[in-house]
Amino acid sequence: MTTTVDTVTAPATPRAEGLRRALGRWRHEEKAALVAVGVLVVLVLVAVFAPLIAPHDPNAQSIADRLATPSATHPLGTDDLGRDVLSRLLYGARASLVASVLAMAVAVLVGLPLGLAAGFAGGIVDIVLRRVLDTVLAFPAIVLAIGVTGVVGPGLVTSMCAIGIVFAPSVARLIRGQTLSTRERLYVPAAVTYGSHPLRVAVRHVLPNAVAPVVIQMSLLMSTALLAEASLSFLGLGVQPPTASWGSMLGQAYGYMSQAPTQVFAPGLAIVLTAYCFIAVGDALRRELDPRQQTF
Amino acid sequence: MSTAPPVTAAPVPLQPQRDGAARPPGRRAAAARTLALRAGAFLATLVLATFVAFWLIKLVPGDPATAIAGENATPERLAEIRAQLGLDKPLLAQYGSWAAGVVHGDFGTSLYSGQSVAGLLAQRLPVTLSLVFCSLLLAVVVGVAAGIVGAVRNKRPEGRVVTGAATLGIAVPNFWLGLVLVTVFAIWNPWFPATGFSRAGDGAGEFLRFAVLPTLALGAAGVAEVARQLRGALLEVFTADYIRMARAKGISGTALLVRHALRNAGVPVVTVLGLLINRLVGGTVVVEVVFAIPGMGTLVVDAVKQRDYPVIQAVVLVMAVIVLVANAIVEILYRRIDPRIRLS
Repeated sequence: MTTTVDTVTAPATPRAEGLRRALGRWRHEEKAALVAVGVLVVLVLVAVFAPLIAPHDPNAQSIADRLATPSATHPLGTDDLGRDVLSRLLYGARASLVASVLAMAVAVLVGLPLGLAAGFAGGIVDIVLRRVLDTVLAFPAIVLAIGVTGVVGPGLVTSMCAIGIVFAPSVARLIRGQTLSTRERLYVPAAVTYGSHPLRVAVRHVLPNAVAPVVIQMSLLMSTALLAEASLSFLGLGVQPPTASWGSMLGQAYGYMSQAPTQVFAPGLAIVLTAYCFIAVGDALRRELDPRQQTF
Repeated sequence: MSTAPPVTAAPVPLQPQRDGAARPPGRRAAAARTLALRAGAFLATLVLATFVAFWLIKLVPGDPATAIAGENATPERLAEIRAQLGLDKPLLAQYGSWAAGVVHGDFGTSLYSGQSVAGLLAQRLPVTLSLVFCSLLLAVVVGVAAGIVGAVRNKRPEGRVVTGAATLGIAVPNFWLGLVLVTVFAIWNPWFPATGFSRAGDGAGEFLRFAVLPTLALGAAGVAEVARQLRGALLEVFTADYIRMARAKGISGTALLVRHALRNAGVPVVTVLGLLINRLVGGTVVVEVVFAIPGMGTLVVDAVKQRDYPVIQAVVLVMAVIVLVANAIVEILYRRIDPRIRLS
């Protein structure tokens, strides 16, 4: 994927320049992606400092104020239990971000070793692993996650672990393909000739040179995980009441849509904005790490 | 998977070999062997999928019979449920009898309603399939058009708008789009029904009236995905030598695009179709809930609420099988489009 010269002494590091220089270049070439990174940083800060910036307690009910229209005290109005929508939106960033990171981490922690093993070991290990991975890939992520949470019981951690496991094969597939081509580089047989343990060769020599596409995939996985969390919480299988998540807020808004249809907009826009930022960063990373592919 | 990494197209030769032309007999045998291998792999995956669906019941914390009947159930009731689920038999025997039933179209009976699960599936499956099919059609037709505009007008404003819209499109959750569509086109402007469904067999007009909003909600992300992939593939193809060659020979405009570029950009798009079917089948669950459509999605969501394990297992398995079969069809298509992978 990179144009590095294939010699024993030159392992193909994707790009040998410093982070600062890369950021400097992005200021000119990837303005949109930098904005997306900025938005994501703000979102993380919002999630961390939600108790300080939220105008109200997100779970404080006030039946007298239920379904209030936006006002100075409640900038986005109140929900069916009279809770402040803005505060719940700010707190909701917590569930959504934790869910995306959790599912992505599970996918990478499960998928990376499997893909590396399949690509590096080859033979029967590869055949068996590929068959199993293909099978898991055939299950629509949401459906399997619904099945698992339906059986184990609802909850954010359960549902996101299920989502992560369903995503793992796509990570494994990617790293397997990369491993297969990296394995052919001269420095790999060279390391084996030196007497390095196969595990060491796999982890120290193959993995670092095969991992670039996974980094791209990770940010895209976060966007998918975010959407999956929203779907599951919408169905009541993700976060449990009274905890706020953007998906569960939409689930509640659905219940009284004919009375207060506008309640549907704010949480949805928060989801779209966050998912869009993850995708924009992923696309920029792809252009950066894999310039041959001219996608977005 | 939200955005599959774009699949790289390798160029198809400009003059593909005609089928039936003198082909060495060894290649035909090799092709037959490839086909047999692929069919074997397909069957193995199917069997593994039944294992996964079966295993779901093993995830029930504690005793499934108690979980179903409640803490205060009588021992007789517990024993009855255990016998009904086959929990009193060893594990492999449980799988064997369950799988034997599944092969014969018997998915057990619903613990909640007592109806046969196969009967429930037969009612719900056509509804879900028609919704998935409409969304797929939308995704392909509009997505291909948008992808071409995005690639051909790459640096122009209209290309940028299409490209930006496509990226935004995959960030929009289908069920939220559904909620917004209901708000705008059913509550504020009562042009379409907010909920419900009419079967395709009961008249096309009614079917369309009910299907428009769910199809848009489910298919929009697919449109965006196809457009993104096709644009990426086309942009890559445009840089290829044979396109420059064709241009040098004086071929331009539509002929260049259709005969040379699209043909070679088709492979990654067909690959995306496989992933897309997976996403559409999954997405239909939440979209059906939003529009209260009596399909497989609402069936499984209700089953989860009622802890109706046989129904959950059956729906999970059937949806995986739909995806597997669809992917097998996609692979056949793929081999037809690209002569070079027919034998690999």
